Amino acid sequence: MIEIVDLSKEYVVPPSLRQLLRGQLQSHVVCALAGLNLTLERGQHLAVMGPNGAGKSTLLRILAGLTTPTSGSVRVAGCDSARGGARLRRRVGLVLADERSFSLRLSARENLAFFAALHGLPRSAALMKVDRLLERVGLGAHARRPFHQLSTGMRQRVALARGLLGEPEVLLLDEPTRGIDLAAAAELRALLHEAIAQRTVLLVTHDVTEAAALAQQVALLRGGRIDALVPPSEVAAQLAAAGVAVA
Amino acid sequence: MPRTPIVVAAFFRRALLDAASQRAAGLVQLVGALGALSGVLFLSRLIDATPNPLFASYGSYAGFLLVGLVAAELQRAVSVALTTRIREAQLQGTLEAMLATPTPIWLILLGLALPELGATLLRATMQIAFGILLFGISFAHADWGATAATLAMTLFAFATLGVLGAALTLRLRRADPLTPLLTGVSMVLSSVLYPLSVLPEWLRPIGEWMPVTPALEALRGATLAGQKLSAIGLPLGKLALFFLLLAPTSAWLFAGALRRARTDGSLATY
Repeated sequence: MIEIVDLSKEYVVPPSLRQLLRGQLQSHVVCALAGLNLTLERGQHLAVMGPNGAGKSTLLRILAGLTTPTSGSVRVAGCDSARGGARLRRRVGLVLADERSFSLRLSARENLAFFAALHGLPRSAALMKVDRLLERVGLGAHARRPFHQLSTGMRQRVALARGLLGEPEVLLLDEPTRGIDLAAAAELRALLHEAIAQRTVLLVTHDVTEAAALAQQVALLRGGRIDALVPPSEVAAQLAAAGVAVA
Repeated sequence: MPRTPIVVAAFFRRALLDAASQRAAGLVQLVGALGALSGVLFLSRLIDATPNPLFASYGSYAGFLLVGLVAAELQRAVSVALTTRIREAQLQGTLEAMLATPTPIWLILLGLALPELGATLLRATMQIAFGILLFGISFAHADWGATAATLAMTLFAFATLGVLGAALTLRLRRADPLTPLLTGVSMVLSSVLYPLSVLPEWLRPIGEWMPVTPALEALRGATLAGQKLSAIGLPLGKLALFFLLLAPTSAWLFAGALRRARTDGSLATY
């Protein structure tokens, strides 16, 4: 379902004006991913963990077709992610932690109806689907409240509902419980547990508990490469071996 | 049902709901714009106090000025609609979420720009109505067929500037530097406020080829002087030439900027 072969991603950073004036004409290259290999079978759930700058978000965005690899091959649900394309985006649902990606003044219902239209659903069908999804994520009673009035936990539920609009085969989750209190995070994980059943999932997280709750395997990413691929129960040991203290 | 009307309708609905939630701010903006327009139209009465052969075919300087200001605003708004909305969506973080859906990029960008264009046309209509009702500017002789054709050609020509500006915005990752420059130069050289004949002789050729100049010549001819399509063929031809020359160039530059932005990940983020 997800096949990544020798994936590399480099960002070319051009010199700033100050550098140019100092005679530093060369751009410098930032290597986000360096020869990453990974295979995820249908229905598998993988958590990706690693320090900031390890390449996790870049990996997610390449899988979603939002950015192209520098080299290597990435196939998601049978589609080449470098080409992007509607076929890929129909099969992939992206759940972002960025609550700025919604219109703050619109209600949760109208926000989701807008994205449902971007999935090609006519208005009446879009509203029916949105109402069902909002009930499913426990926000039926808050559907018509302006987005800016919702708590962080509620906003993340709306983000999850958006990721499920297209009924994707593959779900990509970018730190879904970031910034949420423990109780709300636990509720959201319960919803995620139900949502990811039968789907292929790649979850980016900093939370070992979350990885254990939602994933069968954990990939530890460092310097653009997978350092280790282990069951969740061995993550703490692996991190300790790498000199990272885990609370 | 085809995707395009569903998506376009969704963008319009979102923009309307957003505007409705900021009614007071919108009203203040409109009142401000009409207030500024009133100021210059009152000033035009000083010029209209004495008959001037330069404006005889247009009825009055006020009518000449009103059409000039509305056209200049159209150029500015059409040129920046796409650029502004892309930048706004990048900074707000909404663009990334939109790009993750099956809707093609070109349709998302069109959807972002169209509500802004609709609002601009609505504002232009209100400004014209304001000029008619409060200042007695007459469009009684207007040839509406020629006006509609001129407006369409004008929008197409200005839109190529918008696509060029958007290409620069994507490439430079900052606000479009081209449109403010063009708008400023147009105000001086493009017969927005005064006929080209008022300019020094060496500046007139530059003014002749600014895109707003033929647009204004055709619009004033059709709306104020009642000229038919055949009589405004030359300025319309200039607009068409402008469109034919710039459209492929700006589209090519935009496609390249889009490809680059996808490669370096800057399309969805600032």
